[in-house]
Amino acid sequence: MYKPLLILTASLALSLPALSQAGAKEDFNEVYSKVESTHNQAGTYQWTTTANQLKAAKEAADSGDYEKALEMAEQALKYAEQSLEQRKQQQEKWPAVAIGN
Amino acid sequence: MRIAKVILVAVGATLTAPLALAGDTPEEDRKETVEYFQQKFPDVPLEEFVNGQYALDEDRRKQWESMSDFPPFEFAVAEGQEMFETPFANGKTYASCFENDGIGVRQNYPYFDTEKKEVITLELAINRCREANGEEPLKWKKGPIASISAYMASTSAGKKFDIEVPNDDALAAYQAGKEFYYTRRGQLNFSCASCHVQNPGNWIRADLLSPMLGQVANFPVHRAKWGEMGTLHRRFTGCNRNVRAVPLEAQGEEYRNLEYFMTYLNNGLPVVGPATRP
Amino acid sequence: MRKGLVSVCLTTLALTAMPPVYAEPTQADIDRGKELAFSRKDGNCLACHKIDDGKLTGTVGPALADMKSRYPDREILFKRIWDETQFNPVTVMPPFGRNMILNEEQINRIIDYLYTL
Repeated sequence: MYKPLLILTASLALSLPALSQAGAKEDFNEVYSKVESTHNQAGTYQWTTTANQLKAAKEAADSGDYEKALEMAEQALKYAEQSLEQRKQQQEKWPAVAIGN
Repeated sequence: MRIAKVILVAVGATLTAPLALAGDTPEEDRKETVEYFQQKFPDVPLEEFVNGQYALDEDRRKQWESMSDFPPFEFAVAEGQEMFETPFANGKTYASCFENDGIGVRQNYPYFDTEKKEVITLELAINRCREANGEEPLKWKKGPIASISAYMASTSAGKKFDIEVPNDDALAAYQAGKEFYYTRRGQLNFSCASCHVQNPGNWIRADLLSPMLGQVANFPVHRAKWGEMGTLHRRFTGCNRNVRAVPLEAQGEEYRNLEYFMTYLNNGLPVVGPATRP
Repeated sequence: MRKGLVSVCLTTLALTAMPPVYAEPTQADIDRGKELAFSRKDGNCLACHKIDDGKLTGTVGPALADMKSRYPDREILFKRIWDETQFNPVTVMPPFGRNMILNEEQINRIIDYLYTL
């Protein structure tokens, strides 16, 4: 009676590493495209820090290490978001420090 | 800064009746900028600001003067002259593209082309001249274009910058350049003004920060750090990188507008390019 | 008398909820802090500040000395390194924490070092 359940559990346990790797790849691709779009939205306010981090994340993904790639992409996303925030803030704040404003 | 503004408003009020709000026009910006730097550096004569850090520091100036017998840009000027005078495949030369055959015209660049509605820098004009005559454009940041630009600047030595803002499109380009100069960028969160308005005369490590007033007048430059000549847009790229901001395209719209704004502030100051910098 | 004061302090410490107490930094913490403060790719503090035996120091910011008497409150010093623009909007000092130039742990090591100056 318990046999099917046992088999199911066992097969799940066996496929878990592959599943998590596949999950990381999907997660990475999702975060990566989010970084790209945020980085693009930053326009002329892009950071080299983001660009370098994005490149390193891509390299990790190309070598198949999606766990590491995901971690790096998440950091890149933080950089990109901060650069976008800088763009929004600076467009309002700059006249306060300008000569002749 | 505030004092300068008050003085200007007071002077203006006595001279003209309906004065536009201070800082509304490029000319007001320029006057306030001059006032700001003269108050900051009362011992520096106005015309000296084009020499950047050498106007601010005696030791640096002495090192600079000791180099003036054999300036490192001389070769580039000679090379630039040769290229300038060598006809294109179609038999024409650069002279055919410029006013006064391209001699003594540096002080009018960049200018705003009211038909194309864009800022035309000297380097852009050089490459457009090539393309109009069936030649490949040169790379923007160093090499032949810097040499030709250096030669053309050398024929304009001492002429006073005379940049115009002819219409509203030009004013928009000027304002865009101004906004670029004052907005903080990069992970390090610096604007051009952070260093060159707020901190000229201060040192960042072994680098002495130059004042905004007079910047541009000395380009193209031979930098010891580069070991060769480079254009203004090469320098912009380096500045952006230093603050961890992704550099923009050399001769792209943003950098041309920036150059337009910066050069306008030099109106009345002499062309001193090519020059040398650390 | 001093002993008495110390014991009173210790008692108070034990009895009341104190703001975060920082463990005495080890020499390794302090050394790490100096390394982070001097390194060009990390704090690069010498670019603008004169510090200790640092070479080729900048003049943009004030010399960093007597830090414990100038910043008795560690939290405040931390916040100013994290984001000085919150204290002075026109400062040119990079917001080290906010812009993720340094992380929390790195800033704390730098403070360990600064407090020895």
